[in-house]
Amino acid sequence: MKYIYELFFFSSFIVGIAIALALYVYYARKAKRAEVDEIPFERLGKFVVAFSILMIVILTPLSLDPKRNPDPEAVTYNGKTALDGWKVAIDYNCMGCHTIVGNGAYYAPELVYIARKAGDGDTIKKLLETYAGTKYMPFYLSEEEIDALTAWMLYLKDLNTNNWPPMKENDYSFATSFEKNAVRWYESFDAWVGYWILTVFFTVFLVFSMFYWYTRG
Amino acid sequence: MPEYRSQMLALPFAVIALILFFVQLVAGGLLALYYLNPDLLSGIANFNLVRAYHINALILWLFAATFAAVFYLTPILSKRDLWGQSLVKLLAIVFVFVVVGIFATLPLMQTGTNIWIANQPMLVEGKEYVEAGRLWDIFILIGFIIVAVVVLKTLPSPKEWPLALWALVIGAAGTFLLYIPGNLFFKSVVASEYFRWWTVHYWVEGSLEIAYAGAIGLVLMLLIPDPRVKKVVDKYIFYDVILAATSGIIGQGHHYFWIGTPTFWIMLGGVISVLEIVPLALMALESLRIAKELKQPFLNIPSLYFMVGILIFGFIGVALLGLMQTWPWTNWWEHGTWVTPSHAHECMMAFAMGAIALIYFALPDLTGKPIDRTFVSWGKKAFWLMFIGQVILATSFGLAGTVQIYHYWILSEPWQKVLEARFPFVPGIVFGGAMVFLGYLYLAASMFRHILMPVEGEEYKPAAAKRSFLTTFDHFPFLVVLAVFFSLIGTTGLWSFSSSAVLEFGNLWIPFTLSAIAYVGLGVLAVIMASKLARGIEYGHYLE
Repeated sequence: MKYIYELFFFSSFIVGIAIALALYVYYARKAKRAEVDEIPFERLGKFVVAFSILMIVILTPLSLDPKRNPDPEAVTYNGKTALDGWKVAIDYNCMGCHTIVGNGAYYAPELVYIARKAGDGDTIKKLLETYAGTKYMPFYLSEEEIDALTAWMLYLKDLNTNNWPPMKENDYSFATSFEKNAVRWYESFDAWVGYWILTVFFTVFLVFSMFYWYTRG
Repeated sequence: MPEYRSQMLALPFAVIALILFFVQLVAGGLLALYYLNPDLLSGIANFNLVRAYHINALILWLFAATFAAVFYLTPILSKRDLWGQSLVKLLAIVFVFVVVGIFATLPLMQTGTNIWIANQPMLVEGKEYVEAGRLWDIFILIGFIIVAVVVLKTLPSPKEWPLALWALVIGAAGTFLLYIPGNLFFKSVVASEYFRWWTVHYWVEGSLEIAYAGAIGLVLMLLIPDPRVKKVVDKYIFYDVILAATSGIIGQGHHYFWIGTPTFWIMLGGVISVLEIVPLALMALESLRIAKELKQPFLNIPSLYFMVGILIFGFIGVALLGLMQTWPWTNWWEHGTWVTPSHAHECMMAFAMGAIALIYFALPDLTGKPIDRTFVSWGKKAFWLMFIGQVILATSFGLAGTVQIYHYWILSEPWQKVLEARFPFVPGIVFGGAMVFLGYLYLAASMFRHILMPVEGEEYKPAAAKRSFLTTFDHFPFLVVLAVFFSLIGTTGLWSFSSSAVLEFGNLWIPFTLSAIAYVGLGVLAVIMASKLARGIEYGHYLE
């Protein structure tokens, strides 16, 4: 199905907002008949915040799963590893002009994009040799530093960035299909059903609290 | 003179903050210069160095202003002088030392000089927002510990703290603790980016927001010692903290769409970060309710205006410009383009205005001089120049970014062409930046005049009531809804890049027109809303 990601995403809003509205109408009617006390919002709120923190604690190790992306010490070019290159990139503060996976300054081109367009190590190295020392990159890079940066850009090229940046090659879309995008079990269709339920829960909580807070003052 | 002598220790930090703000604005001006003429400074002060100054000066002056606010408010709340005043003096010296150290070591990035100890960079950390080296982080951490010890030793037992104080303490402690994960070096770029956002996002979305909500709640409670106001403020802070934390903690995920983290962030981060507008929209509406509770004139007009500035930039800049780009389908296009800094500049200005509001609030008390008419009129000019300037700057960034999306991602043009496509919008950025700078001059002039010169006669009297569309609270909730609507138009504009109308048939007017409507509309609404709220209080319509 082409629009399955959209379906997951936007249905959770619609369902969440609908449930919140229904709950609120039910609550407001009961309150009108003076049948309810205050909702124990203080306890509920603390519980939801604690739950969010628990979620981020669980999701952090999953997010950093080493099997999803290449190992920076395994990607090499001319005997230099991508890790060496990352250190060089930090020394020169590459992020102060370029963006890396879209983050950084916007004065110079995106590095993942350059690496993907260049394709192989030799082309990347040639680019670095062409620009280093010119007015575009006004500093001197040694041969080893260029090799290290090349290895690092090869590593950036192979990062699993969910098809970003937009290119003709990825059909200008990140949401291709679960078969193509799901690298690990927690990215599968079944897991997304779980995320759908979670996001509906959060939507209901936040939208209901909005109405509750605003009308109660 | 203030009630407690040790409150005077806040003054040096306020002055440091003002000086660093100047450094930040000059660096920002040089960055704009780079877009006008790339060769002028190239090789002397490279773009990345100037940008590192721009960001680090901001972080450092926000720290300094927060310290000033903490040292000013703590004695009032605990009803006694600060504990360990010599420690605070030491802190001021350490702070200046760290600032000089950071600014002196940052230029090393131009030659790639660095010292690595135990796989950690000591002199330059080379990542956006956390460029300062580890060496200085250690000193900053020592500074944080000094503040924590001084404050906790001075304050009464936590059982007597009002909720606003809890918010301030938790927020300040969070700011310091969250500084750590972003600084650590990780072998993997993914892990490094993952934890860098813990610093950047949780600062703005979490700890700073909570700290400023607490500080401003305390200010309101000090100004209006009415138990009803305390009740409103308490409730306001509690709900704000709960809702902001709920949406903000997982809402972090909007930074994790494309950095090499799994697809579940597209679902969790996407949906929940869209809901981040809930607490901020409520804050805007709730502030109106608090404004209506005010039954006496608000004399410190500059402080009032800048407090309104936080709210409006918090709602329009943080929530609504953020909403436009937080949907995964729009973020896919805008990520890595100039659309992002349009949101980021208004976000950061919201916090800058919070810091300025606190300094303005403390100043008349610290100097012991009355609020005079020049103080008020310069402060108001400073606010409007900064506010409108920043709106123009953010709008230019947003429109240029929309053009960049087409030229960079779809046409896949070489970078030089992309720079040319963005160029027509650079004058807008320069003009907005110049307005902000002019505003700063009024700000600094009003503050230094108040500190250094004698203030005589012409005491400020509350303005006479004036009734017009821009000076009353009428229709404010309607404008909140209208702003959300404009933000959804902008969302449609960015998303339309995915449609075949743009991709295949090249109907560029669709995204460009929709974005232009959204950015200009939100900018105009921001000015109208700020005017209604700030001038509504100034001209006394709360009395009706």
